Amino acid sequence: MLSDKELIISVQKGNTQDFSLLVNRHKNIVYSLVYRMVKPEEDAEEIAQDTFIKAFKSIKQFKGNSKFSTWLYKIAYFTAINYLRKKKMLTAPIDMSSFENDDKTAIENLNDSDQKHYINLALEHLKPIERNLITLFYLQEFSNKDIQKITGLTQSNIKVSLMRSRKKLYGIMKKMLNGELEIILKN
Amino acid sequence: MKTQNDILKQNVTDGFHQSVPSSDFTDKVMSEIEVLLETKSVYEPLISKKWWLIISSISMAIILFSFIFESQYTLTNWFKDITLPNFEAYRTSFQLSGLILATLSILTLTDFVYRRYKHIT
Repeated sequence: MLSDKELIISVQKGNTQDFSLLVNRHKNIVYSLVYRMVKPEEDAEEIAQDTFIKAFKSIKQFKGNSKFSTWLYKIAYFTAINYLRKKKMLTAPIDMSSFENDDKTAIENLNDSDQKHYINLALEHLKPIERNLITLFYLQEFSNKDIQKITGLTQSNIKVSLMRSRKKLYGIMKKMLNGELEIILKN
Repeated sequence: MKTQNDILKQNVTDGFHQSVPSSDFTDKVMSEIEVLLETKSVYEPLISKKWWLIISSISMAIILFSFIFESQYTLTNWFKDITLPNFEAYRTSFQLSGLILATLSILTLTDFVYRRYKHIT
């Protein structure tokens, strides 16, 4: 099986069809990354496709200084951010600053299915960038350096944002478990 | 016992790997790339680099060649020491150069207009 580097060289030489192998190899992660930030699925898919087209257009400029995957995910990240900016969806639907409470015990008492349900619900109430940062952090596919390259943030910025996002997430979950969030959302 | 951090990690990871694009994702991307490549091929210039080089070389050769001729006339009075080329003898060369330059200008303009308005049909 050809490596990413070999496929890129082949595409750079004009073998366009080899790009489909790169798409197949990376489409799941690119799509999942975008889908963490952009909803609905149709829009996420369109942005993921746009990411690959942008990558193809710029592939001759790719020098291999970083991994192809990191370069690709960076394109995906900023394409999604640009989409959210255009749609003015970069902020969370409601102000979650009051939820910055990290009571960690509440969620631990739930069963697996309920934990999943509340975590996914709470993730949806984070800003897309916060949600994506948490995703990148917990996935084994990305090192700290990769996260820096993809987001363009410094190491200290990532640490601070991550800490705040998690606090906010736990706060949201706690409010959900207390039944308070539904009342706030209804208002 | 799992900590809240472990629970979050597990759920984020599981959720991430569950979301997959449509089955024809790669085909859609590749068909858009094909369209892109076809569009790119439209932008080939009317005059290739090779022909620009040949035309420029011929033009330069004509101009340089015209200056090799010796002068037949000199200016009298104040400028009698200054010799000028025999413009009569160069008439054909100048006409030819002018014709080439005019042709090049027309072709350049045509090329520009062709590129600029290609998609407005």
